[in-house]
Amino acid sequence: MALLEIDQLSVRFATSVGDVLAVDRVSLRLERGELLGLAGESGCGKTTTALALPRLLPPTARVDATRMALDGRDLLALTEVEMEDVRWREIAVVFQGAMNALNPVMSISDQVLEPIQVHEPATSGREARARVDHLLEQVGIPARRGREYPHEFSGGMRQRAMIAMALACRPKLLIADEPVTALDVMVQAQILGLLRGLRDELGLGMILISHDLSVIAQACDRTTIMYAGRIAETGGVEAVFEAPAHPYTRALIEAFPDITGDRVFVDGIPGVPPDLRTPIVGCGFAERCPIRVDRCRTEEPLLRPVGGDHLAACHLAEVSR
Amino acid sequence: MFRASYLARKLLGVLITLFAVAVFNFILFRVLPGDPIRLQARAGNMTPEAVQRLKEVYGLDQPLVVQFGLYLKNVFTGQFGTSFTYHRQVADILAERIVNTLILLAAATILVVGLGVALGVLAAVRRGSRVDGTTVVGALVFWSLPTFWVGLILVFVFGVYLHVLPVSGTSSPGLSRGSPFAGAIDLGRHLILPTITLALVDIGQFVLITRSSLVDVMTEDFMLTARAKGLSRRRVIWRHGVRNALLPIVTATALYVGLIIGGAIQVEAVFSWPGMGRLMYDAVLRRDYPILEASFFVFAMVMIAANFISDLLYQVLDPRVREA
Amino acid sequence: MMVLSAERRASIRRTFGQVWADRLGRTGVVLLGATAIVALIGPILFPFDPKQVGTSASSILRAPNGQHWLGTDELGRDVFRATIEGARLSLVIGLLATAISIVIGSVVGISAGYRLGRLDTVLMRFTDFFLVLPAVPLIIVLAALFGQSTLMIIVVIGLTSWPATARIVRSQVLSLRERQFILRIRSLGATDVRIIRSHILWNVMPLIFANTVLVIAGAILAEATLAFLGLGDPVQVSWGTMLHFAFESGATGRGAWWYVLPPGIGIVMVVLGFILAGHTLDRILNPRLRNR
Repeated sequence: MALLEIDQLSVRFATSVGDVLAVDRVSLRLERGELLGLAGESGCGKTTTALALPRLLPPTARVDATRMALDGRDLLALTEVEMEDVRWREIAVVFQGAMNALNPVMSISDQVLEPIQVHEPATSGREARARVDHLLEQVGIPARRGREYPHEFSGGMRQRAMIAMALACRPKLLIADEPVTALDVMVQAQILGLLRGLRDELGLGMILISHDLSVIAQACDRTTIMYAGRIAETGGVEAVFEAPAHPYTRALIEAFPDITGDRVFVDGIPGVPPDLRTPIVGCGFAERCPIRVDRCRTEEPLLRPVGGDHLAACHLAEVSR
Repeated sequence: MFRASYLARKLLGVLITLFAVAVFNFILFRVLPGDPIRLQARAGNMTPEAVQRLKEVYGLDQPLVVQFGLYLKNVFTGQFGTSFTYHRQVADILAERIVNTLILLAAATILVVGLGVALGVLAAVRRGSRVDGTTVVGALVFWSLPTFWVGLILVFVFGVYLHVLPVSGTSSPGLSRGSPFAGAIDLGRHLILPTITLALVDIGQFVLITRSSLVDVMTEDFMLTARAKGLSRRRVIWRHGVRNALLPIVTATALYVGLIIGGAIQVEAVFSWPGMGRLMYDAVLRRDYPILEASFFVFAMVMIAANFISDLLYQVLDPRVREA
Repeated sequence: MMVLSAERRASIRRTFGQVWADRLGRTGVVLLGATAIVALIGPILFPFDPKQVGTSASSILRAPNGQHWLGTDELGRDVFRATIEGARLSLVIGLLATAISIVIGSVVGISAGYRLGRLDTVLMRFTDFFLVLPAVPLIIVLAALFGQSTLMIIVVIGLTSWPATARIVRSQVLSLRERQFILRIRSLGATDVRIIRSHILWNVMPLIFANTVLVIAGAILAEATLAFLGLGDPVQVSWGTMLHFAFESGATGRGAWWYVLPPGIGIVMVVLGFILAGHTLDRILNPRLRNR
């Protein structure tokens, strides 16, 4: 049984101008110890998909799914109070740009300590403190600096503190939402290395969300590329990046000149994603697609295998090998 | 908790402001409208001997700089002269009255801060709901009530019709020989209506400040982090939300003190509460300038103290400004 | 003089449309309109003669009746007519005092925020000093010292209520002066006066305007308070002075509700009108609050 199973997840946001379908029938599997990269342009629904799991979307969101289970436990059936218990103990989140994700008036170690106190009230004060120190050391923060406040930390250090906090209750699943955005390349590599190391050490399942394909390529085992709320392509990192089957994935890769090197953004992809307020007929990428055919405008391409567990949602995708 | 250099700088600021208030007072009462003798003459008749004596007291035959020096010395040793109406030292009169004013201010402040924060939080948490709408409208309506008028209406309702609570003074006649406990109960009963009047009007702005401050904080990323950590809703709101929302509230508190002093003067006038406000009201009617001057100075000192305390509190609450 | 372009006129019209669309804003506008009408034509329909006092003991503090719709005061004068008369003075004092306050506050705020440096330091120290002075005791002292004519009351309230405006305007100018378009105009060699007049001023105007409406509310309350404390112009009828005499003559204690309620309701209606309108304007025009 996989650690995480999501079947047919859809998320709608009620807005003053009508419903926005932000996530459209997305299915995902994640094994223990696996690092999955969720990629795509901003607004493609990758963060919404991930935050639907611990039910952290704003109240305007409506979540539907046929199945959403962590370690065999049905997440959809939980009450709000039961969900509070799942948060952090089973699903922890490392948020984007740790600058504002940390409380500015609480010391770093108090913030790491807080979930331990709340979720494991039986832990003695001293024991919990010792664990906080250990967690900080584990992510490369000298324990004595735990007394400091977020504004005294550099961006990379804050991101490390955030990771230490996420590990506080030994979660099964870690969602890292743009964990290295706005950090310089050296620090990015360190943080990604840290995440991979922790995955190996603790055997966590991890979902890494990034708009930056070089980050996904560097850190992940498998990747899922999303476009306009749907999955465009999914598979092993090497298969997807070396033999992209969906024209959107190809365009994304071309937009980054060198996957591992510097991230000079060339000229992006021409056109804009479709308006999610109106239902998409056919393929969502059709309007921007260089190779589209008439069928793409009328018939929705379903995910189909193009080789092993490598799937793509494109009428023109060919089975490789 | 505070760096010595920070405290020293803040205290120096307090002293400079106090000095500036003294200069302001001196210009206001001694230079602009003419000398104290003219003020006193405006208030009533004076014999030539009295004029001569006053000239010596204030050093009016001396140059302005010397007069100012004398004035400073007097102010900072608490010598505000003799009241025109009570014919006693102003400082002694103030000393008797200030306790009553402080009791009133403290009672109203507790009510305003406690109830104001609670209502502001309630409205912010349920933003857009009916509770929120009602709270905001209520706060705006209360804000627009003149304090003295609310007092008049309460005096009217309780004094003329209900008779369940006293509407004047600090104690009931004949109770002076009762036990201290009975005395405290009696004082408490006298305190109720003035406190409600004072709080009712000043609570409006406090609720709005708390609400908008918390609404701002609620959109911050760390609030989502707090929720993601599996904290209960209560803990998210109070430990993370309100704790951060306190910062603008503390800043607003200094302004609030100015507001509530203004309210206290009106409330004391209406309820014959023998504090500094009632003193000022009577002094206005009788043009007792030494009393006005001294009361103004004391109220300014209260404001300076409130600002100082709010600065320190901000330092305690916000680590980001601590070493700045 | 600043000429309003069609675009600016349209934006003003749009703002008023938004205020009118808001339930609280519309209530405020209606309250203000009603008061303005009463103040303008009320005294013509129901002239008040302060010298027309009662002649017998029975005509003093009389309850409402056919002849005196809202009863009589302690001198036997008509409360209804006095209340209508009082609307004028409240509005006039509130508006003129606010004009003084806004001019001082804007000049101080714009010069400090635009010039920065030493001028800014000096002006802000000055502003902070005034913020620290307790407002009500200050206006009491000033009014007691400098007399109680209507003109003096206007000046006193105007001179004591500008510091908050100065602070708000300054912080807005501070953020404006770093904006691209101002920097560009500046690099093209426009003079400071020109930049301030045709760009800064226009951009802070909405905020100043929203603030103005709230300052008027404060000024009217200040006038009423001052008059209630016995520092009003003794020869003019205002709501504050009416309440002063109601209180001093013991009318409150004798249950003369008709004497205590009307002037107070008048004050609340006007002040609430300005506060509702100002609160709505602030929400529409203040970029920081727009999404609340």
